[in-house]
Amino acid sequence: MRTQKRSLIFYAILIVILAAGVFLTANNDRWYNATIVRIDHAENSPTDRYRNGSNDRYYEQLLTGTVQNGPFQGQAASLKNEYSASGVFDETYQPGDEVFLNAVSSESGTVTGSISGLKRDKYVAALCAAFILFILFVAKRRGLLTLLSLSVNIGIFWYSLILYASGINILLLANLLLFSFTGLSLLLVSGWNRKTFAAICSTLISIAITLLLFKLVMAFTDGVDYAFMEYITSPTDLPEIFMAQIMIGGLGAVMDVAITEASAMSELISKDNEIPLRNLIQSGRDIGHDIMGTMINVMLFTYISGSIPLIILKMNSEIRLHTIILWHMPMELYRFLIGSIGILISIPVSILISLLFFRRIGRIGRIGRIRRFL
Amino acid sequence: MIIVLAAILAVLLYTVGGERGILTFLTLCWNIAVLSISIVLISWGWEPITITFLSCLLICSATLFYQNGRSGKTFAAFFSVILILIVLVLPAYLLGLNSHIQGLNELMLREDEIMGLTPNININIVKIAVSMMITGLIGAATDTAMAISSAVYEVFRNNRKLSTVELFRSGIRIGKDVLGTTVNTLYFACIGESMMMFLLFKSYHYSFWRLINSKAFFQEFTDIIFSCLACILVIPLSAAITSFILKNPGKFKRLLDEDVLFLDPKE
Repeated sequence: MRTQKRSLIFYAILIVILAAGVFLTANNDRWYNATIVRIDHAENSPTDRYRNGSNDRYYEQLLTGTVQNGPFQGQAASLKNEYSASGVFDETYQPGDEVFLNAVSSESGTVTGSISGLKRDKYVAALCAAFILFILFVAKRRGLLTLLSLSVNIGIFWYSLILYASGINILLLANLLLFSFTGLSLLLVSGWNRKTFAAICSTLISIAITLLLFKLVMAFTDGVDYAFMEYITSPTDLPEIFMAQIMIGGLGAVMDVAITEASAMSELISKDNEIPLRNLIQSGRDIGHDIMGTMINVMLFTYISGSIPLIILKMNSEIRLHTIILWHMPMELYRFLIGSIGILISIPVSILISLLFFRRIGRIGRIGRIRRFL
Repeated sequence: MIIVLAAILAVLLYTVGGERGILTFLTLCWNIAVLSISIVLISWGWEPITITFLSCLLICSATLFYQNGRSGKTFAAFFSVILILIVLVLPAYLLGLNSHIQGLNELMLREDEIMGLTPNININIVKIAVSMMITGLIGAATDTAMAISSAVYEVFRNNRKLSTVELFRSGIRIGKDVLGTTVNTLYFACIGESMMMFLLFKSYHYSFWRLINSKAFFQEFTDIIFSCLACILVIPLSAAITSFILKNPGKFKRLLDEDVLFLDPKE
């Protein structure tokens, strides 16, 4: 009864804090240097212009609003926006939206400028709050640990971006990231013990084998055409960035397999010390079979879903699906295929490594046994 | 090169997974086929959310029933994934509408090839964005739901005397173990996918706040966070549904007639 009351109070406080956070980000206009305008009224009128070669008509919007921050705070703003009916290339604004302004100028009390984008931070905050609330509600202390490892990982990633901007090689960074991500997340998930070290070793070895395989395939075929990578405009180190992407992209799934196998092996051995090697390997394979199908599915949908809107646009531009798959989205396919290969490789590797760690076969096992005698 | 990698994947599936590997491979082909067909249908102007929902039904049933057999646990997982989809569609739509998630983001607009694309699509693009979010979460939701329901099923098989509430509790306990690693998997897949975007933002000297407000970041962010939310919410749902089905086999006779567990109640 008392613990129930305490957890009730805890959730009440949590909800208040999260709500306050969301409210704060919804009203944080003062933190921004860019001018923000809240739109009060929008007037739309069609023009007689179309986007070149289509029936996509342009519309003009006359927006009036109030400046929320900066030197012009409180003044009225009068803005112009142009949008097309399809909404593919531009945006329509409604009353209540908050927008950022560029090139702000003020004439006789009315502010004008060009709209550079919508203020989305409150939606980010609301989604984060929902995520934190639900994960703590469902998983309690484990949820807290997950949040902790997630925020540490995000922090590391952010810091590595800063390092990249200061000119450090991306591949070197990706290697460092690989080690720190693996070590930290696995330690946070399962603590300072042998199981964790087995999982860390098997993750690193599996990733290394996967990358080696990828390099081999690259060497024996015509390689990757980086021209179709998304968002290329300036960087010159595309092959290295792509390598870093596939390294990090499959990491989560490989870690998942490694820790599942390691904890299953240690559980089996601790339950029955004399369990025959053959049975152990069989159980490991069974567990691997159970998880591989759905894990590969996770990779498929996480990678492919992001490109759906673009595929639909391209299909409507009379590009055939076959062409799109082979020429416009090979990067997603590469990532998906290599991630899945990583999952499959990590199954036998992590069984083997766990066996080595848990004194079953090999020299490490013998040392463990001798130490027990001493 | 894609073909070589696909061949390696197939060979590995067979060597590591044996018969189950072949099943997985067939399911994978089926899922890709369903996905492609639904994309074609959407591009022909069919209602995107309905199409996505139907294709999710097909994908989900293939993944669960074909890969893992028809039993109490797969039915429970199936129901909970469908419920999650129904629960999350409305918030996803409202969010997409209000936060202008649709269309091309500011980074894509800088690319040359994009400019050649036609905007003649006559499709509500907010709905396309919502279908994207739903498709993204189906894999993770199915994975978690299946893990929970099969674990509860195992617990029940070992101890038939447990009550519905006790089964539910053990489902939640297992869910906690699964959740952390699944969230990790999603996070790293997302980082791998969007690393280029972050590097580009960095080279344009975007500040943290400008990044948060940008459309490109927001599209990636909603994609991953909806997958995570689906994973979290599916845990109590599938624990509850599984324990309910297992404790009330009479009501679900038609679903369970192939289930080994209920063929001989006096086991």
